Amino acid sequence: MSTLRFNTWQNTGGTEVANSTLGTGKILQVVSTTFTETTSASCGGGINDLSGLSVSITPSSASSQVYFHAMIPYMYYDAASSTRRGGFILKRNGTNLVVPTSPGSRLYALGWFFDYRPDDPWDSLHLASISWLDSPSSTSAVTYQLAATGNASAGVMYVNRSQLDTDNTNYPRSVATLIAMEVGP
Amino acid sequence: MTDYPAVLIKLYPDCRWSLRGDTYDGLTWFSDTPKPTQQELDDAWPAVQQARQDAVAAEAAAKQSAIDKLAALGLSVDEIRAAFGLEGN
Repeated sequence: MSTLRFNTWQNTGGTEVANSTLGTGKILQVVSTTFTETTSASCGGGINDLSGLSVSITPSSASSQVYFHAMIPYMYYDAASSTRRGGFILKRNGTNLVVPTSPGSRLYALGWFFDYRPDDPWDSLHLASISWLDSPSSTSAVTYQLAATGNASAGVMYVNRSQLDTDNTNYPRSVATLIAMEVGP
Repeated sequence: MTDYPAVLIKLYPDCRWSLRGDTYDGLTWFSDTPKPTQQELDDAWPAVQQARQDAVAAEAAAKQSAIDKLAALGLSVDEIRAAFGLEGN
């Protein structure tokens, strides 16, 4: 293995470039989770983690940002009513990042879903695309976790499966992906 | 095989839980109430499954009934599909 050491860098115009500016805005590392199982969580009574839908990254600098992106095949289903809804929450190390200004009594969520259309209440699978640019200000491991929430009991957020999930070709299974990228300062 | 989310929302609609995978081993219980046993959930599954199948059948029957009534009013299959999104079995 070889190591290259430089005292100074210059751009093509011959102007010296400070080491501290090298790598600005560059992707410094990428970690991902490809989640092939199913997972589900109740949507009533608060925010419930969707087990397995997490990704951890350890920033190399406290000044770095982390770009989080997830593609989540989901179905929200409520057994009791067509008026109840659920959504996703993003947490960093257990802390909810989705906190709107002046929400009042409204629930916090990324998206707000319900499935009660007469055509596909049982077997649909939708795709949620979630992006978040975070500034964790840390060089310790940071875990991004997706959770489910809803406005009443009896609702369930299913991921990678539909509500009915019968084992035949009318019903889908899928794969979720979560990506965390460290963006240099 | 027991569909645990289906049983849980039927028996414990106010409880908080998550399930990773399809088996009882993946069940995490967040509520203060005792976590139900696998046996309890497995025992409840046949009734829940039947109720679910009944609900699916009832929904299909209701849809077909609506189509039949619309057809009796003189609407064609294409008109029913275009206006209401309904297609017969």
